[in-house]
Amino acid sequence: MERVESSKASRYLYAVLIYFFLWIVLTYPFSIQEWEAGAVIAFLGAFFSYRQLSVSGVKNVKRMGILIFWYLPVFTWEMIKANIHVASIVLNPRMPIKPGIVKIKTNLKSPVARVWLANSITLTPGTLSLDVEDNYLYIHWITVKAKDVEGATREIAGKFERILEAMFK
Amino acid sequence: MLDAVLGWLGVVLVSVGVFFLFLGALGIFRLPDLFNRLQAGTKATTLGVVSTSIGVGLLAKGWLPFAAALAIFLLMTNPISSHAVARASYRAGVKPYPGTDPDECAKRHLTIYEESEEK
Repeated sequence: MERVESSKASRYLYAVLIYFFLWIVLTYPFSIQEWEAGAVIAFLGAFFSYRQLSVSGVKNVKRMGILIFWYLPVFTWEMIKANIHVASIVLNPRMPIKPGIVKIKTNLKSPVARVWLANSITLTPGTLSLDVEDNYLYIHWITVKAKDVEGATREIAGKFERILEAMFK
Repeated sequence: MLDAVLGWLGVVLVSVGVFFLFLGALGIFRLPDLFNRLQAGTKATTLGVVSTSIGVGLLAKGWLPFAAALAIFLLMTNPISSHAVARASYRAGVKPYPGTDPDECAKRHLTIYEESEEK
């Protein structure tokens, strides 16, 4: 798995941005004095912790744009569908389940992208990511629709993989 | 006017959240094995808690930013914890429900055991 690091300045700047934004949100009734204190603390805190916070630095801001305007609508819709699916299984007296553990293949390279893919899979209808090995993810599926690797990949990861590929390019 | 609409939206969101939390609990009670239970638990409680907290944020003035921050943290950490529980219990030898078909993970664990015995 590759791990391309950005320059230190970019990672530092990203940490400052994130901390300052969090400070603004958490001290919500806005006042300029709080902002000044927040700016000082953001610069100091970022100096101590930017190495741990991010690998790709300011590039993450573009990713957040994609995240909010493309990923989030798709994801919200999938999550609502997932809950209706769970509701239909749990409330049905005969409980129509046909569980299985299938294997899917992913083309995503970076570890962070894989975390996002596994998280999205867990929260979408009927699937729970169980384990990961090289390029394969093992998925517990509550109603199996395709047993082979290609079919399962198309059914489960298809939608999100395109978005995440654009996001982590 | 806007306050009333937001208030009712908050009430609706809280009710939906509570309903899905109840479904999650019912799913944990009814489904046959650990993995199926985790599925119901994760999905229903995630939407339940997110929707409840955003509803509370709309009902109580000035709390929306905190509620949204809470919802984002939950959305990011809840699936990770359920994945950790599922993976650890599969490795610790929890058997899936007998009707589970196919079980690709079992083949892989079989090869891991054979390799470790050869060593």
